[in-house]
Amino acid sequence: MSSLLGALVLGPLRGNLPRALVTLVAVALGVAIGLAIDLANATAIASFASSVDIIANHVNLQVLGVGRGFDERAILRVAALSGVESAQPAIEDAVTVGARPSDPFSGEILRVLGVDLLQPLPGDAPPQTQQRVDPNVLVNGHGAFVSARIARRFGWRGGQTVHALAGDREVTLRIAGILPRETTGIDSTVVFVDVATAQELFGKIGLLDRIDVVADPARVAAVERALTAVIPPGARVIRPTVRTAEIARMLQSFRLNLSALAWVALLVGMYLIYNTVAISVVQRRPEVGTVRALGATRGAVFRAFLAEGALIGVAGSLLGLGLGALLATLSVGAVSRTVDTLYVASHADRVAYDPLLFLKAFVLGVAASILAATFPALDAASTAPAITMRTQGFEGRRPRFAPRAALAGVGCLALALLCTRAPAFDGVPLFGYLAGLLVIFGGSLCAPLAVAALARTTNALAARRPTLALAAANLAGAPLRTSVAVAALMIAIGMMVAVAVLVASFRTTIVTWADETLSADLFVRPEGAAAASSDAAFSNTVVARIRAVPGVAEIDTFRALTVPFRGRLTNLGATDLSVLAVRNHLRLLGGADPVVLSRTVPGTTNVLISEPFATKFGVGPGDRIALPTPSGTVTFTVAAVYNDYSSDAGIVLIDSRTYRRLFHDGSVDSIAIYAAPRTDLVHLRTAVLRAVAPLRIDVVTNRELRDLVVRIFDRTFAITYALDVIAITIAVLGVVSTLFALVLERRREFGMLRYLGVRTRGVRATVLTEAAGIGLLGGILGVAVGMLLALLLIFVINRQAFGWLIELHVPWAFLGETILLVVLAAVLAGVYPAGVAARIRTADAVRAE
Amino acid sequence: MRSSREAGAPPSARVDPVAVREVVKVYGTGADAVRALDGVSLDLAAGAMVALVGPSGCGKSTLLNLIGCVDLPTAGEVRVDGQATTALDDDALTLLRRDRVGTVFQFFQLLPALRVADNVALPLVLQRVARDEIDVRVSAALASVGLQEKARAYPAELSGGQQQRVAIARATVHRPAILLADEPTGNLDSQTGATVLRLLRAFADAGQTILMATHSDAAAAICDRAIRMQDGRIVG
Repeated sequence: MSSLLGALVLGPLRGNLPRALVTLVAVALGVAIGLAIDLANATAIASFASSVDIIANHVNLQVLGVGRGFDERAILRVAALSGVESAQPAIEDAVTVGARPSDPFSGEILRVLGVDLLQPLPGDAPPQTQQRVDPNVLVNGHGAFVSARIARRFGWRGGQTVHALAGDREVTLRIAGILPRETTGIDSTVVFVDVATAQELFGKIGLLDRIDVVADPARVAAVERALTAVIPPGARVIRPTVRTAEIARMLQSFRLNLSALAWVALLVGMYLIYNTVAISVVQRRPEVGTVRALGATRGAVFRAFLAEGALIGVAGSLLGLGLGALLATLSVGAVSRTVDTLYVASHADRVAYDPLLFLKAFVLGVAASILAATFPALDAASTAPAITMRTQGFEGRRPRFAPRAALAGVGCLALALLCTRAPAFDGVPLFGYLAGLLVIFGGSLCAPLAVAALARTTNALAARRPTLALAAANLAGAPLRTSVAVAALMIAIGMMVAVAVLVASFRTTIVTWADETLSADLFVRPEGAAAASSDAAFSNTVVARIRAVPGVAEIDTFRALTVPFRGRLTNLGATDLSVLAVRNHLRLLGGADPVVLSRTVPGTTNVLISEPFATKFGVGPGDRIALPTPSGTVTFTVAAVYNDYSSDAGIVLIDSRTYRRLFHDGSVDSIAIYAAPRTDLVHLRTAVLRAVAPLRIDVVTNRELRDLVVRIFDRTFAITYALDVIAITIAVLGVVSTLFALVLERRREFGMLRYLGVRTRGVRATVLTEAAGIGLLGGILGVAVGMLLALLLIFVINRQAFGWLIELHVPWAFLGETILLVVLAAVLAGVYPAGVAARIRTADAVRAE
Repeated sequence: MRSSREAGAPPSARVDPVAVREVVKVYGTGADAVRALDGVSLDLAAGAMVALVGPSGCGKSTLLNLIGCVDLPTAGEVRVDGQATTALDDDALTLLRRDRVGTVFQFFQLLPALRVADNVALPLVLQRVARDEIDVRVSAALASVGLQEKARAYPAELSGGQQQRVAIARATVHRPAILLADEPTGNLDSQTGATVLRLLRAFADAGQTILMATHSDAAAAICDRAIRMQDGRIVG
């Protein structure tokens, strides 16, 4: 076996080093981008988990409130329970640092954790510092501990007073201590304050967000039951891991889709490995024949070529792990920004290098390489010695191969269609992803027929153009190899087209939705940090002060909270639903009558639900849903479903009167202002800002808010373009590799052509024409497959994973440009191989046999 | 349309298709230099069929390369159809080869991706001859080697002898001034080899000048004369 490996694989690999390196780099890129995205996703999740770990190393139960929190006196009942070893109060909120007026993306959100800093904390990770800290500063002087990392970023020093925004109020903190870098178990993005300070900062006097409980490990279940009986209404008892799991589930669709997109790059890399090994098999047929004639078994030949795939896989994957770890530092920023904007504050600032993810990436890279090498290895093993010893053309002719492959391809597409009918599996569109793979394989299987058709067409057009005729003949002469290069390009382009069509459709849908639903003239938010993760609420007096401003005709308020529902986190929104009849700013579905709703919903437990909520939880009008409130668990009745794109976690919309009654909370997060007729909006904006001064708020016009919606949207999808570029790079490497192999293989033929009188530029033109042919087919098939994938993404995967209903919008001009660019990229990829072909020495090449 | 004569002067009855004068060919430099040809002179008259014989490494292939315009002499002069090859740049040399030289190789060297007819048509396609004329001439060339019925086959579907006959059709379809044959029977059994030799003889009898490098006595015997080479020199 080892000598076979040397004879059939290692030696020739050394001889074809540039091509082997191209394949290796392609695998490395595929593994790297998959790993980078996985690491970024895991880091986002880990940042939630770490908030529990910060002080809760030994905490095994938590009491969590809903909304503004629960009465702090609950801790006395909790601490008194038998089996409770320790009960610590906690406030969890956030401040914004560095926000600038009128810049919604300015400022950084810092999570603030209010704990009892005067008590010894459970476990081994309290905020310890070398400095001596005055207890009075901690309790009464807004003292805060920050990590060395935060201190460095903002240039803070011990003893310094710093400014931040808590909602719309400017607050001050005094840096009581800087946690040394070597402090372990501490999330470096969290600011620690005493619980009393936190209550004051966030207007939660007498309230707690949670209680961390250390229960006797032997009696956790009993303590959990006992806690349930003494905690306030609406609060719940959970084990710390459950909370992280809830957040992970909320991000599940986002993470899965991003990962799927990233691992497509490895799929493209697989085609390259297939091609590389297939080329090896064809090039070494005489050697295979010799060793088979000498007594090597089919199994030994099979294993030797499989080992080639494995070798490239191992080397490429190892390189990919290093590259992926580097790329992760870039992707973590992009992913956590999106999570912050759309979901909850993640604060992932350092990559969590999970060894299991490295192992997964390595195993996937090697397995994909071996799988890709299996078919050509089987081909090598199944060829009889008598045939392999004969000198023959590059690829044996396989009559009717192309139509048969295309038929199988159509079969795959039909199966894909069937898969689209299947429902999601536990919220994951498994069959949707399977349909995507089937579309990719179906398209790939159609490639040989497309190559044959292009070759025929080119040949017909090439009556008096020898380079065209030769290129056509060469494409047709190596249908399998050409098809694999075309297919690899097709997948990469298909992915790009699919994402482009999805983004264009989604963008158009969102713009139309924003146009229809954002009808107010001015919108008010706390300053800075336009993110869903920002929990900033207005002070109590703001609504009344704005309402009194001359020129304000009416205002709508909105309050949003995160609530648990059926093991996931979802959103609860409160607004005045009595205005639905006069100002229907919701797109109601199913023919719901806004006039009727405006009478039947306000003040009751009837609610509206967003479409993603309906899809995700499978509920609809007439269904009843139970949600925790500070007044206890309340059963609400779904009155109608409305179209919404603001959160894929779903929204339950209740009337603000009901909210105030059940949640004992009068605060609001955002305010929409309707101006009186003929009011100058610029003056009105100034008047509103003046009316609430010195509170820090941002007032944006209708147009500005719509622009902001689009900006957030574009920011969210920025990373997908980066993934596209990498997949296309891999595919173009595939074109280089294929052409290079074709040139080396046909060295004798090119020599012959030169002998017959083809000039060097003719040889060059032939190779470049082939490159353009591969590019053209890859582009056309890519657009076709991309359109199918886009339909799948829009109408199946996004619908099942996020609940979005997106209207199809095809960016035709972009698709045309894509095909042109792909042809250009393919021609560029052909420049080097064409140069190699042109430099072949005529006499040597023809003489060699 | 470009003329098939564009690259070289029109053949003249007074000009020998091949004239080689005191040609030296050295590969490598310094101590590694190998003198493959050492003062070789040779004239081939139109219609002659000449065998080039001698042991391996004696310089037969090097001489064929120089006459076939794929290589240039280190010293001396090679004239093909009256044109000195050393005076031509790579493009002009290519065109001279395209228009005035035909070559038959030991291993046939057909392009596997092209059908038989397209292989034969290649020299005419490169000369940009009109399609109709190509069809007529390819058909005639295949008829002359007895393979008309194989026009649509691929090379891999033919026997070795058939492939060599296709190669001969390709080498003659554009009516070259000189047909070079490098061990044309070296890869064939004796019976098939004899068929190929008879075919070449028939072309020579029809006026085609042929220079054939061979180890085979049978091949040499069918020629008008045999030139013997040894160590880069003509010795008889």
